[in-house]
Amino acid sequence: MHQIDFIEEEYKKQLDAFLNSRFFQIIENGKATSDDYDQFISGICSVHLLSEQVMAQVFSISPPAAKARVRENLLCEMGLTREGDSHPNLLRKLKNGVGMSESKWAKIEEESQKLFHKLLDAPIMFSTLKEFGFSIMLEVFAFEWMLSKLARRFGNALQMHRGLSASDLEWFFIHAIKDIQHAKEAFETLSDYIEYHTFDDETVESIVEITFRENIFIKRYFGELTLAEETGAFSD
Amino acid sequence: MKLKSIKVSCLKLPFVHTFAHSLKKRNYSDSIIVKLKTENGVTGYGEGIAREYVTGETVSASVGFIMAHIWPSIEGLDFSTLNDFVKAKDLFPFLEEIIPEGPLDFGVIAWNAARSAVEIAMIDCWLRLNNRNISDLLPPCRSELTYSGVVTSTDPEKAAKIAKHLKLSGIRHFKLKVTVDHPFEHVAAVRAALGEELSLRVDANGSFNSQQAIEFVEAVSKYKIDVFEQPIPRGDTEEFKGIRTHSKIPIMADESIVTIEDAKKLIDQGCCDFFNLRISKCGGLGKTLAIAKLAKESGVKIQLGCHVGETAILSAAGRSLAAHWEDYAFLEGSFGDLLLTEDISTTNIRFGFGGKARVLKGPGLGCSFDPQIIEKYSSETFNSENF
Repeated sequence: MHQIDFIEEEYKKQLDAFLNSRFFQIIENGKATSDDYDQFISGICSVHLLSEQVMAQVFSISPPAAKARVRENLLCEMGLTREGDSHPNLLRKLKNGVGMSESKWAKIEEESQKLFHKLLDAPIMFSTLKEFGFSIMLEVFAFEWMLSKLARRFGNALQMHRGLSASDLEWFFIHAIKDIQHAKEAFETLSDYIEYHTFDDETVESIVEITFRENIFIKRYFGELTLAEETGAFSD
Repeated sequence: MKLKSIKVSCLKLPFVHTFAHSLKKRNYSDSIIVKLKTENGVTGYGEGIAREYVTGETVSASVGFIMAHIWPSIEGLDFSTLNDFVKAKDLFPFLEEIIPEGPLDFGVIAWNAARSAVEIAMIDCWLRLNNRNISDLLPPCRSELTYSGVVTSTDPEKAAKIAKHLKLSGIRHFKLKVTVDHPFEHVAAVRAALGEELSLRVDANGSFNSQQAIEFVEAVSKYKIDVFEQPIPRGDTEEFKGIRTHSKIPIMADESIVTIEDAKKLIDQGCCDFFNLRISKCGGLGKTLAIAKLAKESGVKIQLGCHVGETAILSAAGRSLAAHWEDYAFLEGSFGDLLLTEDISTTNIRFGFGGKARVLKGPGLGCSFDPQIIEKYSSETFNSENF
């Protein structure tokens, strides 16, 4: 259990830094410009357009005890459960609600695929798939855990300050509900994974620290330069 | 096919974490990227990293030297004249002749970062023009290389943690940055984290005085240290030699070796066992090769080092150089996105598990560079009029 506590502590650190970031705060308090909101929406879309693919990766490496649970999550992402539309399609709904042009959407799809290419192209720093897979799982579940806490706040902010409807924002409100369950299941799956591969504390801690050497939420949603601004990278 | 235009970009590319050694704490790369373009639009990239405490160059001074002295000397160069040079041993001296060395002012020892950036760009451009790879100039002796991990000088607990992460990543050769503050505890902590078998070197970046350096060697010899790099500042070679005389640990020169004249002096006086050669510090591929040749002839071993924050350009150049050398002791560099928040190549060329990386086979330096990423992180750019 203490290994899961360590992971959750890291998730909390990531979340706190994200909540304290200037960009998040202006998005939520309405002081962001309309370009800022559109940039945020672009960031959300380009990351989560990959949700089916990354969840499929997590499913492919799930240990037997977690398989059914993660499969259900994957089917949910793909819109193949009772609840309806695939989550990437909900992002297209958001795009229509914002009135985004097709050319702009094409750029977002291109960014999304560039991100996917980057993830696949990176030389692996672990000796086996079990360590590398753990790192992938940690990051994917970090987003679900964070969205369980923030998706509704994002949706509310965009509704209030960007004038979008609840229907346009269905992606956020679905995740606000579904990810509560997924966040709880994430820790169960991580625990199953650690047990299946008999990871010791040092291995878990090292992989967690390597995976979260940067703030992944700020980096993925707001970009590298915003992350640099938040961490004071350019202050000499 | 003539060289038509130049663009110089000053990068501010953030790091994933602070990188600290005794002389500087850094949070971003401040590389100088040179992009050359021919009449028919073929481009080539080069990189130099200005370090005032090493060569005396600042970023602004290096850029000024490139635009005011180097570019006017090479503008309009017909690249077809380079086609006569089949071998590196002929091409590099030619490039050295046409890329100016001076005037040396502003306290600069050598305009090596500036020259490195332009020389590499010229080579990359010329190779791409002819659809060739750098292995044509520098035939590789091996297809795979092994890089060291570097542990920066933070507190001993953090240093041990970084060492453990790198060990989990299969790294077998380690360099630890040490300072006069807590040097023994650092070494002890990192050695404990690594176990007894993995190779460990230490690098003081010239932060000790002679007495401190000798005491340090006495205290850490029991930790199986393979090399002690740059124990004291660049300057008095007799003092440097004195440390080597008293040291049970082999001594490596880094900041003390910037030019071939430095190399000759260090060799003649028997000052060190190793040279740390870095392409940008030494003034480009040609000069680095020349110093390496001299070292080999004199029995001094070499390490191909790197500058903190190098992008894929210097990483690719370094890869080809190390692959070409029959023998080198240690290899550093190609950290890529382990240190940079994003690297500038279109494919990821950093090392992987075990510090392993393969020779690059694409045109030019072996990989392509993304102008949009360079633009994203450029704080200033300088173009020739017709870029």
